[in-house]
Amino acid sequence: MWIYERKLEYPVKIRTPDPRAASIIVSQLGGPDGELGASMRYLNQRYSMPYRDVAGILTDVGTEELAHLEIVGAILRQLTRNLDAETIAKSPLAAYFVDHTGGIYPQAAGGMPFNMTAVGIKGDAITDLHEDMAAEQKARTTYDNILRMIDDPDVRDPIKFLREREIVHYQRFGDALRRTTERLDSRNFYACNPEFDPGCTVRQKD
Amino acid sequence: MRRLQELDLALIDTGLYLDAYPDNREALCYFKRLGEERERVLAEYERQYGPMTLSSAGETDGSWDWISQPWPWETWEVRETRKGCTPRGTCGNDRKQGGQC
Repeated sequence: MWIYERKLEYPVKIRTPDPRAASIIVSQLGGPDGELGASMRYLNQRYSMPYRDVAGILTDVGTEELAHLEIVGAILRQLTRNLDAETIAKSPLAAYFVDHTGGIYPQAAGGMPFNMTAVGIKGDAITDLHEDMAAEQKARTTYDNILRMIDDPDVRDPIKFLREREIVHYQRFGDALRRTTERLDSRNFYACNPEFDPGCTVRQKD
Repeated sequence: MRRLQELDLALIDTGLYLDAYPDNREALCYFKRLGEERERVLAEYERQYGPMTLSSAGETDGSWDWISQPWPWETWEVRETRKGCTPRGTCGNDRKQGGQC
């Protein structure tokens, strides 16, 4: 289970609302490489993960992604508060506003609602860890693209924090992949599925 | 709040590291030190501003205090308004009874 703490993992203090920025950043809530997809990916991959340390990394990173989902939600809320309909109508947020008003709805910047098709859960430790490393890089690329289009330091600061965490998570998943291959036949790590094929794990550390 | 966020980020990061390197003495000791400091800082925060988690919520001024403070996504101008120190009400076997702030 999870316990809610009424604090953000990183502070969000945006003084100036900006509907254009919100229309871009919403992708990191519910887009293909957003935080909702990230948490669903890791928290659902972990059940069949045969190595306890790797399942631990999936649990802890997946939990942190939920904290990131809340940071992105807080950014979106603060960017869209106190806006009048006229300002919104002239902004790229108009299409979002007609369906959701000031509600925070997980969707991609292009309007596609959150969709699990961008999330891979293959039930194969090697496959899933490669998916996870790629996912962290895709999220990092998306945050870089957001930073290319936004100047307000109040918005850039928490976005930069989230970008940094993608890099840390990438490194931790790299460790997890290495620890996984250390348990497999070094002549060919990719010959069988350690989550399904019996005897695939040749060396158990503990 | 800022110190708590710093400590929690350090705990999260060190925890992730320990998932991959569970025998690293230096990281184990660092994690333990952080945890001890977090306990102190959290107690002080909750004394001043109210409950951080549901399990530490209770009664303040005769009503449920989990909902009396701003939520974390509310604007920072509101969030940094300091809550005054008020005695808690008493009720039966409430472990928090006795005018503690």
